[in-house]
Amino acid sequence: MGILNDKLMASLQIIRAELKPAYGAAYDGGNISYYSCGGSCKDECGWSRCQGDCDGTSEGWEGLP
Amino acid sequence: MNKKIRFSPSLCVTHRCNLNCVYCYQYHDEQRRMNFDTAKKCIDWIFHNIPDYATDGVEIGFIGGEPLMEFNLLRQIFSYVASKYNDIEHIFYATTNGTLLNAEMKEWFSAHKNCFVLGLSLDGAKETHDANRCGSFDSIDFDFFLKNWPGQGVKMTLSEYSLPRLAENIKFVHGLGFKHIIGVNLAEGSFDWSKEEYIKILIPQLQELVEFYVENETLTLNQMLDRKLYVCESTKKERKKWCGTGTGCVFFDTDGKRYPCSFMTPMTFSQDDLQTILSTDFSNDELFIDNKCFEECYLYPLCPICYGANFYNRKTFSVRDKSRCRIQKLIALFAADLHAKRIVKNPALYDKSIIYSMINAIEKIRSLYLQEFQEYLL
Ligand code: SF4
Ligand code: SF4
Repeated sequence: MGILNDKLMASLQIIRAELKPAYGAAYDGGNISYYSCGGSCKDECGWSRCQGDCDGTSEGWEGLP
Repeated sequence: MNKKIRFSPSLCVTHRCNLNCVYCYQYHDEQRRMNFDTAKKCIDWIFHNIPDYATDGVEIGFIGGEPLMEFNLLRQIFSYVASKYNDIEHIFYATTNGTLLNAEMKEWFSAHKNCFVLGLSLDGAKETHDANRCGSFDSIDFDFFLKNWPGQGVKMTLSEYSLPRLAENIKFVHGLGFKHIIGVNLAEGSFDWSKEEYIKILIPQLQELVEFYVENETLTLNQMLDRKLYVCESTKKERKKWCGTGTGCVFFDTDGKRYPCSFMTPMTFSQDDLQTILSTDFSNDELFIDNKCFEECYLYPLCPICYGANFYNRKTFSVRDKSRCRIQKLIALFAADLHAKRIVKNPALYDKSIIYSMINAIEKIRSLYLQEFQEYLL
């Protein structure tokens, strides 16, 4: 198995190559917002439970009504 | 995913706690409890200061100590808000150690589960949880939490004891039925993360977790591995403070005084430190940026920091503790391995708009950091 082994990397390259014609130009990083973490809470404390906007607001977890 | 945007201030209802967990950094001053008059003033302030961005009302968080030690006060506050601010959308949330819930409380919380959510602190299986949290495992009614708030997660804190059991504990918590695990961070506890031994301890744990999360591909990753690697590929690096401390976050202590967030309070800091903290201009992002990290480190957008913990350990908001860099790199490597394996197994799990950058980031992380850990990974 191994971590990030050559076979795995080769498979990723194939997937990326297939994506490129459709998405490559648009998704080469230029339009990814720095804060589009979309769920990885940057609050290291995990208390304010914000998801994505990281400004102390709560975007709600699944489970919060 | 529920995407409601709410103003979410917190009220500390008591400094008291019935436990004394191994990693707890709070002073538990028995005398400090919020009274109802103070609580009403805080609530009035909150409902009169809802920022424009909070389009979905207010989420009031209760913190302690252990907030359920003040169950009667919580009920009073609940009724007060219902009588005075019922026209404004609101919910309540409290983090609890889960050990004090008696039949009366359970009945009340079950009856109000749609507007009052309890979040549980749980460090894993019995052995670990008991070692970290005063033998309290058997006092927790997990089914009560799962039944009332099935989508809710738990907060897991690491200790030296739990680190070698990380994978087992995370699997255990998911196995109980909890979908989200937050915490699992490097900020809490008194670790010296520069110790080589932690690298050796963490590697097999991370390997096991990668395997588990690839097999269970729809499970939400715990906070340690849930790294949105693609943000490292962004060309729009902004000089911003990560969290809402002192800006979006509002924390009321038991006496009704406001503090920047739930960490930067008299429960954690001395009066001298608090003076420095309170004279800080939290809206000035520049005070929170480590220039070296910002300029030089590929992982900067992923490397989480709690400014409160940083100030606590190092008396600075900006200069990061570089003794954690190796561990951050190691975690990034395993997060990359995990995403790589999930993408190859089932690309449909990923939004097409991010896969391209995700793959670039995985390649980059591999090329930057794999060599450094090669000797341990063989
Ligand atoms: S400083 Fe730390 S405790 Fe305070 S909001 Fe930020 S991440 Fe959370
Ligand atoms: S990994 Fe180290 S150098 Fe990189 S951002 Fe984090 S603290 Fe800074």
